[in-house]
Amino acid sequence: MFPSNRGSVLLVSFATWFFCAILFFLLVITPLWILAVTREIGKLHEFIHLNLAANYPNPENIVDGLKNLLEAMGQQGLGDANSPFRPRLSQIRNISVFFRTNNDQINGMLSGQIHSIPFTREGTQTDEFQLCFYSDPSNLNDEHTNCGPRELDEKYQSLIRDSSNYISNPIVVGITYKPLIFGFLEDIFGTNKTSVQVYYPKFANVPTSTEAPVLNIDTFANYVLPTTLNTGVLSDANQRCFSHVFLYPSNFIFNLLVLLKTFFNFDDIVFRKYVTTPLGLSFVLKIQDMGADTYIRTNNDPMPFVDVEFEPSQGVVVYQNSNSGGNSTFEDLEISLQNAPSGHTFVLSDCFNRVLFDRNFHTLSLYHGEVFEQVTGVPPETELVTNQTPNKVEFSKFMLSFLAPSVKFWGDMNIFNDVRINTPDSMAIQTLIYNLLDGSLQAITDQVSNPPGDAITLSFLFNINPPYTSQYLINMSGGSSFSPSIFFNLNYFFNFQGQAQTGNLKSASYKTVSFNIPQEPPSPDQNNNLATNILRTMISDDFRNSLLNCYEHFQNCGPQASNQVSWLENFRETTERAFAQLAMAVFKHLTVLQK
Amino acid sequence: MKGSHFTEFTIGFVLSMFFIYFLFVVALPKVTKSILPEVVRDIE
Repeated sequence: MFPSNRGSVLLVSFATWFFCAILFFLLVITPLWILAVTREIGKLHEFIHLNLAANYPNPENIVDGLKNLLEAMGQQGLGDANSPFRPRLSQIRNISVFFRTNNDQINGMLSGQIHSIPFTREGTQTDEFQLCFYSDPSNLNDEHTNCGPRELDEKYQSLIRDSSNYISNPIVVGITYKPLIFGFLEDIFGTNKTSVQVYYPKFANVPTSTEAPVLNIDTFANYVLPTTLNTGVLSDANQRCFSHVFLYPSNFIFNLLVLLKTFFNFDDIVFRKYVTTPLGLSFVLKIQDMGADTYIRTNNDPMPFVDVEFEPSQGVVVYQNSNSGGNSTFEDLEISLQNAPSGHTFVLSDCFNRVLFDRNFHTLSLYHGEVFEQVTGVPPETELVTNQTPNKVEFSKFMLSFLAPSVKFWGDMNIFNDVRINTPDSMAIQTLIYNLLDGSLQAITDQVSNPPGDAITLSFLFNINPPYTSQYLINMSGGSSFSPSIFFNLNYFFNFQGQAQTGNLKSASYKTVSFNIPQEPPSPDQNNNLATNILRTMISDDFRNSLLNCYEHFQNCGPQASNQVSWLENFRETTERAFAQLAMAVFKHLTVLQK
Repeated sequence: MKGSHFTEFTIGFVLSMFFIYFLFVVALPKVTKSILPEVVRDIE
């Protein structure tokens, strides 16, 4: 069957090699290129987003900030200089910022502004790309400006309109760029890649509408990213840092990457889909067809809003399908997220087949960087406090959140899941509390150099994660089957607000303490008063009432709930002890400061 | 080795690589730029 003459053999050889080369190109080079380029585009999105967040809502600052940012990028280039796939600035045609607020004056100032940003291409050639602002979605397709991502379809524009119904200040950033390798294909098809992300400023209004579409994640991704780009994150194996963000064009490519990773045993590369919760909003995350290796984790470990098991060895909260033998699947696991803090990133493992977002999906945009770097994670309560501070921008710059070490309970759990700090010396305060919770009170010295009179605001997010998880649920359901509904119903009792809202989950709450460093060295009584005030604020009546409700509930359950009663006792004791330690550390720090 | 066609496979490999280079790096961009100058100018 094999050709015998030399010409035929040569022809077959040529065709075979050609086919293999194309296959290699498609299967290896293409995914790598897509990863690299979209990662860099993701960085650009991140830069722009941070800039927007820092300057919002001042339109002049937004324009100037973006111009400065892009001019700097034009000089320095974009992305990793060592990457052969580094997208050059010449590939970026324009950056379109759709900006609509409830302030017509701001809209009028921004809309229609087109700025040409010069940059030097290939060392010598001068070029420019355009930065455009819009306040009307229909203008995004304005062919006269040569600036808008014109290929955006009606679906994308309807997303903007829908978003505007929920929240008044959406910012949509679209970056249109010309892919490097496939430039000629883009020429043929006459299209460019456009990555689009929707951001919502941190001071935007919390929506009140209860009607929202149910979106499949793929649909959603396509919705937001009309060029069928999907979102994902590439992180290192230890899950510590989500340093790379990339957009991948489809689930096919994503699955292909996962396949390649598995085939070549690239254990140090982990692909993730992830979403970020919007500001103080609630939505329902429905996960279908969870496989044996499916898990949910967040970079705000532990994940406070879902039923999870703890993986203390890695510091990663993992939900595993261990209850049912590890092989079966859960269907329609519904995770209710109520008042989740903004910027809380949920990482979904790549074996999720479908993720449905219901109600207030809003941003679900992608971030990269550690959660510490996000400036959008401002809880509403903290916003109120920050309004009293002299400079909101300064606040956002110093907005930090970090993972405090676990305060050990009966079981493994964190109560200081998220600590947000507003202080001129936030890093020192962070270290302070970190040391405190680490049991290293001795390490608290004169790390903080706040001058007297400066305001310090501490905002703590307390996430209650009782040690129920699987064990408790099994007990309650009387079998081995997983019963998430019981879990969520019980979360009602951990409502810190003390409000009986059936169906609403409020398992976390921000508590904020704001005080000024005394002008004069405080007396011991003043220190005690301060500590007492902090303690009282932290352990407020509604918190106590919530615990009391829990108590009553479990006591009514009889002896079978003895574990829960025990846990509550332990929880209260440990919490109060932790709060007391915190208060002690604060006024001890202040005492040190005054010396 | 008789019948191994090693030479033919080698030549086929070189030719295919050259063809791919010519096709994707040299020819197609020129063709597209000549066919679609507006698009190219717009993109660049």
